Amino acid sequence: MKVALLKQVLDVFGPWSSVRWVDTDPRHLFDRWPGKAVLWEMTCLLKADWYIIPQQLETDYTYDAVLKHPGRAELITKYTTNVVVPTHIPFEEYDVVITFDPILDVPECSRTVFAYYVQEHWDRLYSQSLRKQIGNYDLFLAHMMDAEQELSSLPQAISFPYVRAPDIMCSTFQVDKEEAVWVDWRTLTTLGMTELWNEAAEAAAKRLEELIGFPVQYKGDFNQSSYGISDPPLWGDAARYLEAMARWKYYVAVGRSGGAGQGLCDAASLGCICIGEQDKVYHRMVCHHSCLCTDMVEMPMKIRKVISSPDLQEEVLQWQDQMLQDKFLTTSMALLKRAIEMKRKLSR
Amino acid sequence: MTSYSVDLPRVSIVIPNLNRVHYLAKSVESVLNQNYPNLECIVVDGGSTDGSVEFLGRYEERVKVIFRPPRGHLDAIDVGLRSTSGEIVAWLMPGDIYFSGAIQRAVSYLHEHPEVDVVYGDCPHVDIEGNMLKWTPVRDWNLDYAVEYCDFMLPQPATFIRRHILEQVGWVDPTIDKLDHELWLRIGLVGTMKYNPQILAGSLEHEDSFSNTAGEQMARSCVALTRKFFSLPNVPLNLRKRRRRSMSNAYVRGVDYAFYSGRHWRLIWAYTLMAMVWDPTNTLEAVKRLRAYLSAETRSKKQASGNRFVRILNLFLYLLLNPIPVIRGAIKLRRLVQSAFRIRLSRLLRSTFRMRNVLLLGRPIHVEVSGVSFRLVPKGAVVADLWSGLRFERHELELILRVLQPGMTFFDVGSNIGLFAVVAATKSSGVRVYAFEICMWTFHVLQENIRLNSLINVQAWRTALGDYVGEATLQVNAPGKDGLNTIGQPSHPDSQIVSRERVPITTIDAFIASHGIDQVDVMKIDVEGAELLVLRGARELLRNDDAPLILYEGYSWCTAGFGYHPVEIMWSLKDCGYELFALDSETGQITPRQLGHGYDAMIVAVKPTHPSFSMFWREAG
Repeated sequence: MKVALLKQVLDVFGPWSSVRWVDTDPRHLFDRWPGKAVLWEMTCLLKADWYIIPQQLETDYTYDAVLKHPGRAELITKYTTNVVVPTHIPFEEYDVVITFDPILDVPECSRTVFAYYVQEHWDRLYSQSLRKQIGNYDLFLAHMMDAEQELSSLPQAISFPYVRAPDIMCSTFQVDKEEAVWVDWRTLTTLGMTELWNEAAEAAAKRLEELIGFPVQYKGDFNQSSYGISDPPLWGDAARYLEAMARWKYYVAVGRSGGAGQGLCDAASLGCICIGEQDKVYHRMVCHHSCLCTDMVEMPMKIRKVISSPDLQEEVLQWQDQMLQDKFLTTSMALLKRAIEMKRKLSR
Repeated sequence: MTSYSVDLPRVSIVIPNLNRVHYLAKSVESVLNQNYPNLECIVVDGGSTDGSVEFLGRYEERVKVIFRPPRGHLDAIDVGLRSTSGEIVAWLMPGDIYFSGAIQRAVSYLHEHPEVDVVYGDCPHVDIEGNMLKWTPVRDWNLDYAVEYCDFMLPQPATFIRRHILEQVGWVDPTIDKLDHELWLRIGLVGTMKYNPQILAGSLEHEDSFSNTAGEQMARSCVALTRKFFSLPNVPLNLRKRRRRSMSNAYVRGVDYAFYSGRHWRLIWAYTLMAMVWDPTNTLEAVKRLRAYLSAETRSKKQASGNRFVRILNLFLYLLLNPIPVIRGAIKLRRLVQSAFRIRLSRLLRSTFRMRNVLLLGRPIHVEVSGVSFRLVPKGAVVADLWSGLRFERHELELILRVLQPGMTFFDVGSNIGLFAVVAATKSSGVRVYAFEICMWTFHVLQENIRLNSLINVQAWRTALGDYVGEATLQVNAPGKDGLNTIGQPSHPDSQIVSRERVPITTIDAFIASHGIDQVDVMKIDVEGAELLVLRGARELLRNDDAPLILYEGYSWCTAGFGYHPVEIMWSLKDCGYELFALDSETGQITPRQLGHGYDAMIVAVKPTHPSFSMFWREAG
């Protein structure tokens, strides 16, 4: 399956340069990748080519991440390289083209499956796309898993997570695990009553360590500004983050509800025992029931329980691997393959 | 541009005209300036008397003129197209223009794409001088959408059609005003239409363009063309299934034309009704459209004379379309009015508090809670609120009175003027009360209240309770806001710091140890966000089986001043074996603290070993 991933210049997630898979490898991808690692596993799994195209569409997300911050658009433009005009992209070479937001005028009689994610679920485009996908796209990939589960026709909105590649993750960041709890930075900013990373969050980490009586590890410096944008960009910070997280045996993310819970999937892919919260869709998909908190109040008790039981730890790890494999890999890839078959039949 | 060496196909351009010489000149010149060698330009004139004929005489050699009786532009287009000899044909309305090289580009595209029957490009709006005014994005052709919504306009001036497909589908139908749209639908059934993203033509934007003057006909033609389309024998099954929805939408589209091109209200009403009859499931869309136009009409009439009927109708439709928000809004409004009235009255009363004290020479205020009477000196924000009815922690006070029994010890942490301490001590002389207040002025009022009620079982301490022993800085608010004094960062929006006081601070564990207190049974903590610090300083006490019942306020706007989340208070208590219940300050109801309550709440924390635990357990169900 040949896949292309497309994003616009002002999309802050993913690499800031067009790059073909044959010209890079999992490690080197991070060289031009300043933000979160959320799309990295997908890129590696699909061996996808990345294309950065000029800005086509300004969404709620563009405003929130870039336009409302003076000078940020210029900064991103300055550091983004290899921007490709959509007309120069050989779409017909690909089986699947996935864009972040519906940014393409999709040709009608193509054999290629055109699909799109909406980057932020709170963007109006997301709810619009759930009702009716935009343009001539074949698939709207609802990453919050709130659309149909089965692919019955094209076009369609379909529940489709950001796919995961635990094997690649583990082989890239393979280290022996040490006894400590890695606490997601959002949990600590929630506890420190702050939006961005600061001393209050670090103080919260100390209090948490004291409370659970177990070492706490974290890395939050990337989030001293919203979306982690800085000048110069923090190239490779996502790799450093994953490297740091991979060292520790446990991972905790609770508080600050709203997102899908991608961070926990990163940790699960790295083989950490994950403790999450029920209000986040990916946490529900990945976490073992012993590690899923109904709310933040339960968190210390769940941590203690899992730390104290080696049998439970084994069970949790097996469960997480199985869930990642089933829900973030096998099902998703089967969906894509079916979509390709359907598109080819339609375009005959 | 791709070059090729075959013979260039003949291209025919038709321009209908009736007394539009200025516009005609622009169109004709833009055609002739194309420098396309194999070009046929035909003007169909309906008997112009404005000099059009004389103008065309200048191009006798290059422009073919067909004179017709004045039967309208539709007839002229039909006659003109049938008179052409080109393999590729197109038409322009007077004033529309081709940009340089447009015909060549269209021909090139059709040469390179022999499977394409119709090619269309971009067509911005232009003024009479050919300057671009605005540019509506063009989409790829979609037959399903065009049929279902009666709404897919190809940019006609920038559209070039192969003759054979026109012959195959039977030319244009001059009986339908939207003849181009109707033609696209028929071609769409059998041929291929493609968008070539290049600017080919400009559409003149002028006040008396055909599309703006014949709203009623256009509205009718939406219905006519959709009806005609479904009468065709080769309509595929998937489209036939959508006939009712398509007809309904054609009427809705007709409503648009009827409104924007002349406000034809009879037609608007009739078409709305027909849209609902054709597809009842489309009723919402039809009524929404009607309401939008009624609103627009109301706004414009309001500026002129004011049409009460339309406004009432509009309101009725709004209520019909939005019953749930309206009912919710009404309930909310009623509550708001009631609450605003009550609060306004209380605020008014509170503003007279000082006058009351002057008039009554500072006479103490008499308060009664659950049969316990006591008096308070009329000083400070708490008493002013209580006297005016703005805020009275009745349910919290009642709870403390319920759990306190003679012989028990009550810690009132953050006592303020001593409302809780005085109530607790008044209930029974057998209850020992320790009241902690750090603000100098408030502490004096607390002492006055103890003296006023002749209480000997209350000890007042001017010391802060926290997680260390030493000194702290109290941020003192302006008079009347003394309830917001804090040793953290002021975080309440009403906070107005006027001074700072250095105060001693100790921990509960240290205080108990140094004063030989063997047991604390009940504790109320209201320390503006420092609750976690107080509890951290009471670990030994809280870990005991006979640890006190604790009533505390855990609000994030308070804890933010200390940089922690209210859930940390809960963790701290759960860690010591406490069960948590929520107290509803409005109703006094006790419920288990659970998901959905959020973390901001008035919390009762009690251990299963506490004598009152079973009472809370029962009440919480």
